[in-house]
Amino acid sequence: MKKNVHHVVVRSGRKEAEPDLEIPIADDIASVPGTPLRERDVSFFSREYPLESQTIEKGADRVWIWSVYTKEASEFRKQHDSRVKPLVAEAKVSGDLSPTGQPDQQDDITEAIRKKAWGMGFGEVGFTKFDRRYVFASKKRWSKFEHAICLAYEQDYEKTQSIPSMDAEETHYGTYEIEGKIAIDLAAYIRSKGYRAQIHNPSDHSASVIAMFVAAGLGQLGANGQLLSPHFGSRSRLMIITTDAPVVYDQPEDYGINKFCEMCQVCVNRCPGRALVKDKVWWRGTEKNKLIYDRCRPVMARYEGCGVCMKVCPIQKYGMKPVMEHYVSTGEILGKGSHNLEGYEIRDKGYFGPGELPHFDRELFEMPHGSREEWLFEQFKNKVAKDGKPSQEDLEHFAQSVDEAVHHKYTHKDE
Amino acid sequence: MKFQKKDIDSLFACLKKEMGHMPEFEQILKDAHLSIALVDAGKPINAEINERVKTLVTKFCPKSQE
Repeated sequence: MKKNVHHVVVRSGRKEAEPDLEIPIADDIASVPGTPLRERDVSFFSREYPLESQTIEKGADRVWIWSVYTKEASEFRKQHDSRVKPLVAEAKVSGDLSPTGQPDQQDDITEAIRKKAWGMGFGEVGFTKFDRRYVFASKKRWSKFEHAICLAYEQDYEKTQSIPSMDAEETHYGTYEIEGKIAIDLAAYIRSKGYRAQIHNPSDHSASVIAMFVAAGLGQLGANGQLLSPHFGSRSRLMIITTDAPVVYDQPEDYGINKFCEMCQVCVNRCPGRALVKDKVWWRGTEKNKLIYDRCRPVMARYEGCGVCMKVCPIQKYGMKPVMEHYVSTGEILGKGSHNLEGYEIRDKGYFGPGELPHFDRELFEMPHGSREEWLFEQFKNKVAKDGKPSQEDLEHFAQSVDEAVHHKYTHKDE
Repeated sequence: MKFQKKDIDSLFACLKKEMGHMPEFEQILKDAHLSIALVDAGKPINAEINERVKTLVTKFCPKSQE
């Protein structure tokens, strides 16, 4: 059934020469710009229960994944890790570097940075406050500067449609490598304009950044937990640079995603691990679909990063404009129920079309929980319960393992 | 009848063979996926979509093979 248009969102083209993108939003999916928030709750949870990087908070499974990777995935990850190591190291000290030029008061620094970032290949560029409520506890002291430059780099389209696969993993991790490199040049450009810049490398995240991308109007939060942006949906990798340059903030938009996802539900229905939940909840002051981590991670780890929730999103596959135009003209979700959108293959299990899901044994979902030291203690406790009083050798082994885990915590990079 | 897996696989194999060398191949792929979705939904393919893509999508459309 045809819908009335509530409003039209106008965004600039994907590239400089391209015309503006005009996206019609139907009246029955219009809600609020950005994400529904309870600001007081966001502040309360941030203060009393600050966020932490999953690399620390879920550190035990970061070690475990290496035991379930395929040989190919393991080799690939080792190579990727060695390539990003110097990029992470450079980003870590980037905030300490002084400007190399003098600010020019005549410059429109916001548009100068935006244009430069676009020219370097970033597909979405926005500006907002660096909201410290979303910063990880272990990164609060490290993070400098009050303004965030939100940068999204599109990953390869063809490889993304092959999810889950090693090709898709190559573009996933490869995109992090590309943006980690060009961010160094973008930060140098900002310094040449007379300002400071700190690179938050995407392989060593300092914050839960999607909230800032939404605040900068670059998209809205999808039911798959990813940023759905106008040009490439969730087919992008996100990172930020913070700066003291006096940039002008962008504003959040209502792309209709908050309600569109409630109707679409393709990612929820197609998730191989049944990790996505249909109904939204209020979580730390944000209304969202909260993913069940323990059902997602084991499938991700074993099946080339999974990512089916990204692949089957119609906004990713067809772009926001055609999907929203189709919704306005028919009231239907473009691609829903089709093999083209919903079909995927899982290694050793075969092809799964609309309505079909793979079966996994219960054992597949067993993995270590919590931080590395929490998991070590859990194992130690179980050993004592089973074998009785620990030997001196057991105690020394436990102490050494905890020492290694704690040391890693403060020298980690995201995985 | 919507595009089945075999129709989709055949279409993209053909696209890759005929147009895989073109610099705009990524856009061609995007156009092809969008065209399949529109045909599956019973809608006409947009005018701005590459003519060769339109022809191939029509050729591999299960309706036209019936």
